[in-house]
Amino acid sequence: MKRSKNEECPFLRLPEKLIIEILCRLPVKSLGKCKLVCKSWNTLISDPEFAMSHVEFSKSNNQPLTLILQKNNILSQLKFRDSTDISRGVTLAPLRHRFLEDDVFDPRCCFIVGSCDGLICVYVKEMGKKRRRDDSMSLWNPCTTEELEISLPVERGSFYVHIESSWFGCVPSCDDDYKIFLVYTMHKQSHGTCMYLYSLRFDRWKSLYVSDEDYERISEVDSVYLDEALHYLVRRKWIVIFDLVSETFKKVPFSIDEADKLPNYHQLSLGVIGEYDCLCAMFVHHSEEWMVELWTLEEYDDWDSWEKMYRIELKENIVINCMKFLGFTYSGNLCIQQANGLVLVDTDDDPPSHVVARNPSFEKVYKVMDYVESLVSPDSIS
Amino acid sequence: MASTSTSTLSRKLILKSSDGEKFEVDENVAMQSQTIKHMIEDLDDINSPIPVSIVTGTILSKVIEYCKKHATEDSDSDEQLKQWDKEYANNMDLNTLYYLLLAANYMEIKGLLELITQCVADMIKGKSPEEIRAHFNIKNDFTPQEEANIRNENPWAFEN
Repeated sequence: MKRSKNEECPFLRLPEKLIIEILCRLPVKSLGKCKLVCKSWNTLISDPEFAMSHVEFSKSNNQPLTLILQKNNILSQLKFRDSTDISRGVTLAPLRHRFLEDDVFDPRCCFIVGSCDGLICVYVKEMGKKRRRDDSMSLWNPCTTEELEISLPVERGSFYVHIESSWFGCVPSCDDDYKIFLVYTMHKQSHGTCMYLYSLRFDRWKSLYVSDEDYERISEVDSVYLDEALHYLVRRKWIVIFDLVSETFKKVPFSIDEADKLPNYHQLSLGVIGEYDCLCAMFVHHSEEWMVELWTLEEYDDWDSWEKMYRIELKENIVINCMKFLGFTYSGNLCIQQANGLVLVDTDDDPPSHVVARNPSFEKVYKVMDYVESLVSPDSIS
Repeated sequence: MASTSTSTLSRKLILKSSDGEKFEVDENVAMQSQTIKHMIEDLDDINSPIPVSIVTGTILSKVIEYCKKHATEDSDSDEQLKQWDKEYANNMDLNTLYYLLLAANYMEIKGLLELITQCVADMIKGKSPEEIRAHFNIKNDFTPQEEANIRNENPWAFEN
């Protein structure tokens, strides 16, 4: 069928800037299909710069998607049906990777070191005694299934790696280089902590030594990224800060007035909520009733500037069968472990709304991490 | 209504389209366009028509319709405004959307630009390459071999 010239698609004649504005609003899978529409779209979408624009757009306009790590190496992606109302429900889709497949002969465990710009840094621990040296690590884009193996700085034979304290992400001041921070302890020595920082651009590991015992204790707690530094709440007394640009450590006191904060709390966790864009500390009390209290650090360099944002009680219908507080997401949702799933609570609503992510085959959820779908290729950023 | 008192304070501007059509609009309506806002700042005589050089009268009237709706404050809830936007965009054919997009870009009306780009993106979402080509009347300029290569390199995009 022939069409006259003035009937031809005008959209192909749009300035590239506007085509990018349109394509940035598409999910990754649609973009994959768009590559096959015509040559000019294929060229545009395959450009690593477009992948970065797309992921930046997704981060600033959509609620971050969330990843969950579960027992038996099940890694699932959780998507909210509605970006503003979590109670509309969630969908869970398992992510597939060869490391996640059951292997009776070579049992292994899969851990997420970090997630940034649609890439997940996966650490694969070989569980067979003889295979410990074969541990491996990859940067993986679950959408495009692209993968880049990263060599490890040490063999696990005499070291134990602390995944929760480790980290992967982008450091803008280092020319947008992606870095991996790994925390190890030596098996034979007590408190023998060593740390390694990897630069993806230079494909190089650098070892970091610390002498302060409090610095070594970061191996016991989760890493929290904010403003190009990692933060660790050590012994509920100090915040140890590792500056990813200067590669130096320091510690500051963690001080919230005893009289003001939630009494008898069971869990305390540090994190960042996008809306406040600052360090947040969450105190959680859980016995028969569940109480949650959020504090934010108003001024980054003023370590006395903690302010209480809210204290709420979670109603029984939300916390039924709940066992453990897993933390909170960048969008501020609380994540609570249930016997066979996960409860997400949006505290912005009054009363708080919630959703249960459950699948009969899933067992306990161990970790929840923010994730955004992207076209970013691990090869193009290295 | 209380809002009328603020609009009487607003000055009138005349916008002139590329084909010479003139539109008298309240200043606060025209000011939604960053381009016009900057033009007014440099203008000595507010009464002379402001040329909107690349936008035709037909398109400019639609742009003004959008700006008028978004200039009146508090009259609608967010939800109602969203619904209005949706109907506004859905009533446009592809050609009009294309010229509206260019107009919104030239006139720097952020909200309209976002609305139209999202509307076009929604037309692409969920469609197969063949359906997208048919919808936008795009010619397939790949050879069968090139097409097969792209499919093989990106199997993730084509599995269910």
